[in-house]
Amino acid sequence: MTINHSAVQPYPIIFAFLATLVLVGCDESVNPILETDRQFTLFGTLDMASDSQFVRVVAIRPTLTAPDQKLNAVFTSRQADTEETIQWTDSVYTFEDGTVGHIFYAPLRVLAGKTYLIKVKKPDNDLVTSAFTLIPHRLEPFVQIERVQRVITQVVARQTILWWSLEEDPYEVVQWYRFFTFDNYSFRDIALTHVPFSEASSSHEGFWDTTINLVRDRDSLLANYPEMFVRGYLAGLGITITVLDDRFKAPGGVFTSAALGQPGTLSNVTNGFGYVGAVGRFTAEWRLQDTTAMFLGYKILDNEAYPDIAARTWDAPIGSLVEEQ
Amino acid sequence: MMRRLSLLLIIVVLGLAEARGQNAVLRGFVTDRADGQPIQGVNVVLTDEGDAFLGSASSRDGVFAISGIPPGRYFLAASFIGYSTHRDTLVLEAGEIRPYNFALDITSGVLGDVLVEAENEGAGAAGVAAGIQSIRPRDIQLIPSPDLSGDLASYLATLPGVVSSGDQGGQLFIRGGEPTQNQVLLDGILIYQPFHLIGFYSAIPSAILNVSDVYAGGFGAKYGGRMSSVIDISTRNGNKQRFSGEFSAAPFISAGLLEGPLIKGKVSFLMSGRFDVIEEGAARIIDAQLPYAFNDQFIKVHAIASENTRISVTGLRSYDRGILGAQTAADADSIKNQVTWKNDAIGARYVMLPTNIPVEAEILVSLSTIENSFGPEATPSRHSRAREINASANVTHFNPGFDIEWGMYFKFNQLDSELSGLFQDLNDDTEFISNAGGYVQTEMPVIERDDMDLTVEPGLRLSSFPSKGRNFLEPRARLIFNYGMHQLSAAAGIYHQEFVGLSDRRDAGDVFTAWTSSPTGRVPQAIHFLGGYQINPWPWLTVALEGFYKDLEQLSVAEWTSFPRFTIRIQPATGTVRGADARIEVNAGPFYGFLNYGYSKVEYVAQQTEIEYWFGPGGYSYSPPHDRRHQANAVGSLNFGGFTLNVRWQYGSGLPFSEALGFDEFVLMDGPKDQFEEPGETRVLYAYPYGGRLPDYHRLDISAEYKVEFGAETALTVLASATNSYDRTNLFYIDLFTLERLDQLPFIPALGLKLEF
Repeated sequence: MTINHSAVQPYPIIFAFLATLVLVGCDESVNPILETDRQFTLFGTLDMASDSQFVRVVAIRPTLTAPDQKLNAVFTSRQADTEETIQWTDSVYTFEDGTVGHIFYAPLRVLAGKTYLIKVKKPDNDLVTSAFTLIPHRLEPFVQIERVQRVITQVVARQTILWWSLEEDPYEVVQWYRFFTFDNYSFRDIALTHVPFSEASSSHEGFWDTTINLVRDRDSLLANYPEMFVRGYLAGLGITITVLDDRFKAPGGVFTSAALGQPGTLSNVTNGFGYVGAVGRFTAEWRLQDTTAMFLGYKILDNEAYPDIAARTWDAPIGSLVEEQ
Repeated sequence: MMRRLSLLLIIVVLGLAEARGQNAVLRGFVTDRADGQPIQGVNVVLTDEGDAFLGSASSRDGVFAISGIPPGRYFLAASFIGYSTHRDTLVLEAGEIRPYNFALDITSGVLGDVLVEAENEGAGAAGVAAGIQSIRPRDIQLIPSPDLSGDLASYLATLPGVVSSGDQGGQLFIRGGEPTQNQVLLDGILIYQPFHLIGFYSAIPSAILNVSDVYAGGFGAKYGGRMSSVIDISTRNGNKQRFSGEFSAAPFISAGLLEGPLIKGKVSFLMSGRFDVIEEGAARIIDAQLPYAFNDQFIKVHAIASENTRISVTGLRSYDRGILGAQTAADADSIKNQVTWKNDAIGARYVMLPTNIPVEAEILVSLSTIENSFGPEATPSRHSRAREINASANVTHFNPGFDIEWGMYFKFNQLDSELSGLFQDLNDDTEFISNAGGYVQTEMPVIERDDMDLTVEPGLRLSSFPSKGRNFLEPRARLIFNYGMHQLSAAAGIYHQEFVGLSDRRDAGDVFTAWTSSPTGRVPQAIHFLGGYQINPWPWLTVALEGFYKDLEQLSVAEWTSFPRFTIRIQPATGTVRGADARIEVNAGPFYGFLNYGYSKVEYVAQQTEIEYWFGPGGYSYSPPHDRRHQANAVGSLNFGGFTLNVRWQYGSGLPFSEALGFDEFVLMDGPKDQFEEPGETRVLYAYPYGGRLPDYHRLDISAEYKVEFGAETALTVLASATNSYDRTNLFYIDLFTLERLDQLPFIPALGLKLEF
């Protein structure tokens, strides 16, 4: 084969290549902030134990600078069953660090097992940021009778409480003892936290239980509150468990900013970010048998002599718990 | 250890066997008679009165060696482009090792009449062979630049697969590798950060260059310690016959070079210095903030110690200081954001051709230091220093038909850092790490025929870090197959990098680099594969295609976070780089030019703990900020009427960056919260990490030079150049938080002068 070198020229190849490349890549604009339908970030919980609810609303903004104090938003909640709709009120709140946030609130007592729909929108825009949240179903406790044994010189006294339908550890467990004193004719609750509940607790199919070590509790109370064994009368004891809604779970089991800070992680908000959770709080209250109480060294009231006090034993709100020192 | 000693013994015995055998060896140095420079690529051929034909091409040091020569009478011819052919008649005795040094005279002729090998492999813009490309000073002079001193950095940025941070930053990414994964050697001395903050310049002006071999991947066993690429630069020796020099002035730098004999014909010096004049020049021309200062100084003394030995001492210093992203005068004065780096490197090199054994031996001792700081120079908020002391020996063993190269080295490294918590996982401390090892590689001709030849270059490198308890065995291999006008090449290898440079790549404007030993406790590793094809269909045209794949393990990248933080945590990552280059080189009379196109895809897979929660199991795959998918470069040079017109057009598709949906405040919902207690933390609502692309980059640079000669040795060159001729607004980076954009340099007209004497 003979190639005529003079017939093959480099210039057309070069110019064709250059012309092709020059035609591309002329757009020099760039905007790193994408357009989005997401308007608000919501953070908060609907708490069964509270008669008012609070949810933080943050407007998603295109600049880093902090938002001004105006947040033009309409916030409503609706209970799915009754369709009862409540409009919430904005409160412009200045935090300790001087920054300002919008916390919407409403007088609302949420009910176990009910679904609530949160909606936030701007008045001039049909786009709605919303979140469904399901309040945990009611959990029923079962308090087993205390087991008291004497092993040589030691006394073992335990009591197990079962929570039906709870199959995993609750978010929080608070155990407390309630005493009555004639000093100001009142009840006093002392919370015990020295026993990690997970040590004496376990999940089962259909229930979760925890076992109280009555002797160790008694020793702790005696060490820290000896006056309760002199002037106080053991009125009862109880456990309050706090459970979160089914979706309120940390990825990997640990709640950290590093993990949850990624937008969209642990979020139930449509057209927005954040999480509106639900909190259920359930309490079991009971009395020890008189013989057990006295055996452990507590003084007990004669209920027949003071029927009015006995009747009021469980009336006092549990919120008056005194943390163990 | 015993194995290594055994290997060494075998090689030495082989050499002695050659010396004692019946065949003769001819070896020596080839130099340029005019200035005493070694000439690389000289074809030295022996023929007898029959059909015998033996040949060799000279190395960078001008060393040639022909072994396996049966005793007898031979005609020697040595030729090289631009030099008159040297001829001689030799009678070689059995077992003789004949030293033979000679010099070539420059002529206006072209090719000699006998040619074994045109030039070193990889020469020319399309002359890439298994990842190697050789860059000569005359290649660099083709690239339009705003000054007359010419610089390697400008040329490197025209190579496909080389991604530059642009006009500012001084960062080069070669085929997916980070800047600190590139090894730059200057006469064998490590230069940690060889590029200046202004992207046109490296610390190495073209005037001191002899040749630069760029190994974009698949490099041989001689090189180690970096996992991406090697740029092996050899510098010129000073003129051994007369004093000469050059001075140039232009809007960015003023440069000067002096060279000459210290002992005529025996010892020479070469010294060069460049200093920026940005404040007085370029900043005024473009009326913009260019708060950069840089300079570099180079000195080399070279001596012909004896007929068989050469000694050189090389030193380099460079200094850079600047504030990236300065938009206003206040920004430019804000030294708290100032980055500074200083290179100091010095080394001595001893090359000898022993009289009794057919080897070339090189002994190198060097000291290299980089200091990098952020903030005021006197009281930086962050500071990092790396230092390497190197002692190495390289031996090339000339055997009939094939050469064996082997070497040993000992390195001592010191790493200091004071990072003010920039990297949360790194403690500020001083590390002392020793490293010893060796390598062996050979070049074996498997097929040698008139119409085709196949050469295989297997190699093995051993690195040992006693203080870390780590040893690495790294097999390497290269293959070159020539068949007529066609050439096929391939290379593969395993590479490790114990010392890594960490930068916060989340911010393109942050070029502070902290040197440390593998921060995740595991040493980064790369496996390279590449294969290429080259053809010369016509004398004026060379076309080359090359594909490559790199598998990267144990990378350290910044942990992903949605919070605007000044400190980062390191997370492990893996990566792949795949791509292909196409190059066309045209050499047609007064016109020379090349076009190239590069496609590259770099993917990192980050292994951060939380990633599984965000993107599912298996890590998340993303394109790091240097993943430029498409690149094209067109360079043309035309000589007419005493003028030289150079044109370069560069195109690069947009680099990845992270887009956001906006900002909000984040409250950690780790249970029931009192919303009045938690102000929250400002959060960036990022879309997918590095999911966006910046606009494409393109730029046209033009320069015209006219040289006026005054006598045989004095000349004045005048340069007029237009950088970014059509004033393209190329984006350097955009600040997500302020939405301010920082652009690359605008249209820069420049005039320059160079006086040579």
